[in-house]
Amino acid sequence: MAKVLLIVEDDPLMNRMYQKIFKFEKYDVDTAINGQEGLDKARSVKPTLILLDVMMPVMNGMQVLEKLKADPETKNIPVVMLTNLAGEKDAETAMMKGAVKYIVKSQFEPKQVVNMVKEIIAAHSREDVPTA
Amino acid sequence: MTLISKLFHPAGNRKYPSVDALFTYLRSLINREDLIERLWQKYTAAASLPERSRDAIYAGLYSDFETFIVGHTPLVVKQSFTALELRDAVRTAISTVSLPILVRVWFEEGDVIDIVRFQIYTQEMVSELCRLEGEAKVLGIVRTFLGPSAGLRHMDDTDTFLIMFVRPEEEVQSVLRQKFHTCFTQLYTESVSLFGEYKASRIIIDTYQQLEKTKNHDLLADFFTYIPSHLLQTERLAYLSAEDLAKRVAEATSREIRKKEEAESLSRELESKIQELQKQYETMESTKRAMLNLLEDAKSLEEQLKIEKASVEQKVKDRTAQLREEQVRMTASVSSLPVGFVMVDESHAVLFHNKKALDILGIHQEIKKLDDLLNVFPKDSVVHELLSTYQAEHESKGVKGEVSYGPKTLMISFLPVINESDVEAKNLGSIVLIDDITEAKVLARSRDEFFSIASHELRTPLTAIRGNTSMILEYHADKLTDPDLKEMITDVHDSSIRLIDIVNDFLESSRLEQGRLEFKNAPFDISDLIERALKEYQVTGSRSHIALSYAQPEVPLPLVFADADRVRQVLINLIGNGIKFVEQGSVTVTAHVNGGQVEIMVTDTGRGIPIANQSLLFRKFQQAGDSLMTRDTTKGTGLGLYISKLMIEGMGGKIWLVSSEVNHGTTFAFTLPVAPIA
Repeated sequence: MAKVLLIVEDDPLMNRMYQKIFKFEKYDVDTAINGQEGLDKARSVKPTLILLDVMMPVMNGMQVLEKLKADPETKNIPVVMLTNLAGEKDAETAMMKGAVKYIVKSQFEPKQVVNMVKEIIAAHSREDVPTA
Repeated sequence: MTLISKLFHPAGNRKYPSVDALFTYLRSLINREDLIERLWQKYTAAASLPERSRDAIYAGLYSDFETFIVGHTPLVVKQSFTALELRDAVRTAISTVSLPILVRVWFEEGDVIDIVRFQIYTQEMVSELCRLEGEAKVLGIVRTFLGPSAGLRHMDDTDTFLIMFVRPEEEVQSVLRQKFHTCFTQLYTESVSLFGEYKASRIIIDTYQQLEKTKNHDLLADFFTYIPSHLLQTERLAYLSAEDLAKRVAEATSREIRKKEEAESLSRELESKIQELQKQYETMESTKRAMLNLLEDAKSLEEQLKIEKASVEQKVKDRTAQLREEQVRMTASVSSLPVGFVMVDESHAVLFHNKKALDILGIHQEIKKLDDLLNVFPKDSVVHELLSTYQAEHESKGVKGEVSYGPKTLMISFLPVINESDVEAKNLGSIVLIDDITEAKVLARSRDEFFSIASHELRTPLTAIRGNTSMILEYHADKLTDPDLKEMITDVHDSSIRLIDIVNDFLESSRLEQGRLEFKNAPFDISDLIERALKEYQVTGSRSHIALSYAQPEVPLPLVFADADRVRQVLINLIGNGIKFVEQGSVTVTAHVNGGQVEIMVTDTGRGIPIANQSLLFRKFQQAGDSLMTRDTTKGTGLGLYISKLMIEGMGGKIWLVSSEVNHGTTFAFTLPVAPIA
């Protein structure tokens, strides 16, 4: 089964850039341009991993994260927070709410982000094995 | 002689208890018994003498005692006596009538003395006449001259006779004495006619010799007036010239001595009186001087008081003016305060408030009580909670808090007015400050928002530039056949990274300055951190000709207590600086314990910092050695050391330039506290 990644990102520049790099890396990518759409797609698509921006219109990333984690259907999907807000508080809050990683976009090359995602998926697959 | 002896001692050898009583009494008047030892021996020896001379000796001894007692001061005797006083005392103390007549005569007085003396003078003569002529003949003669009341007494167990005579009431002393004289002369005449001139005169001389022994000068003197003038002429003269004179001289002398003594004691008394008076006078003088001094003091005090009163009045005037000025100044100050100011007393009555207070709250009515002020706030306003908190502490500690008031945000403070110099630190009331911080809040919010937005809005496009150029270089390298094109894309990529760094530094320094950066201090191994930081550079560093090393100390370092991420940032910055300024050489890190701190040093062999610019290190936007126009912009924002300094100090350490020499290199050092042993 192809690994579907859901990128929830309102900024088209960022959205397009992360689509490209993951497509280069042979991932199936779905995107949403606001929080509500992201939440809906997460429920319908059931992606392998969600890259979730924090600052977004309609519903921000933190609210989406809460809802994802509150829903039994989606609560096991690993969520990586992507942001350019460098506030440490935000990072902590996100981890508390169930995110697996908090990435400051400007600090990493796209390739580095891909590598991090790969590692997380690998770890989760291993965890999934016994229950699958 | 035997005849006379018998005459005087009719009682023969019998004892004289009255004589013993006399001398015992006299002795009792004397303190210094040792001084009368000789007299006392004489007295005890007299007991064994023939009775006739014994009585005379007793009489003489009395005279000796009397002289001794009268002649000595109360130290030797119990008290001082004159001769008459002593005789009086003896008369009172013992029964003198039972004394032998020779002794007794010392104590007789007035008319009786003449009778007793006459008896003594005539005793021997009468006894002889009675023996030769018979009592009747003698009695006849005696009665012829002395009257029918006169008689003769035959003394018991002896052949001695005594003339007895009771003095008639009407008899005058001088007439009586004349009768005695005439009677004595007749008796003597009778004796001469009976015994012859010689024997008669012998009787007289015998009597005289006895009398002499008694040392009773008055008795002797009187005796000489009785006897015929041709008898005892020499004795009479000698007596008068020597004895009487001596006696008189002695008496006079003793009088003089007494007078002198009296005078001396008087003079002594006088002297002590004078001294006392002198003392009193001196006391008076000093009292007088003290009084004068007091008066002078009082006078000068009065003058001083006058001056001081004047000066106090002036001071009060000055102070009043000063206070008025101060009040004006204070009112002006309070009125011009940019905050609302309300002063209330202990019962919360408003004493004073400035216009600003009303302006901020937008009210126009007068506020008389604190409640008037608080009632303009809604019932659920935080301001009521603030007041409760303030009152819970008995209005002794100031409280303040943000209170929403319509669209405004106010900072309201309740502050106690306490007289610090008062021991009880009594609360005199309170001050309420109302500060409109709406604008400040907006500004603060917008500043926070600015940083967020800056970080987000700047970073996002920069991230896009960085990511996309990076992907071009990564996934489309085969299409970049023109080296210039490839270089241009690389430059765009590197520039975007530098811009991101600059934005990060700006944000970091601003957060550090505002104290909004939290340090998560925990114990960690600094050696491990240093090695990892160096490894990062070895992995990413492109300049392999620079040697990076960590000189591990021989003894393992203790754990430090700091925020490991921040320390890593500082280390990266310092090592990065070293690498930047070294063309060829090394960057070395060392560490050691110094007191309660671990000291970490980063040494490079780079181009060094000129002395003139060393003081500018650690300043904001400073790059050592460069003016604004000549800044080496490839080397960063100039915030690195500034941020490092704020971070290290925020973790309780220090950072400084150890040494730097142009063309030789630079050493920086920083310290971190050693973690307390858990």
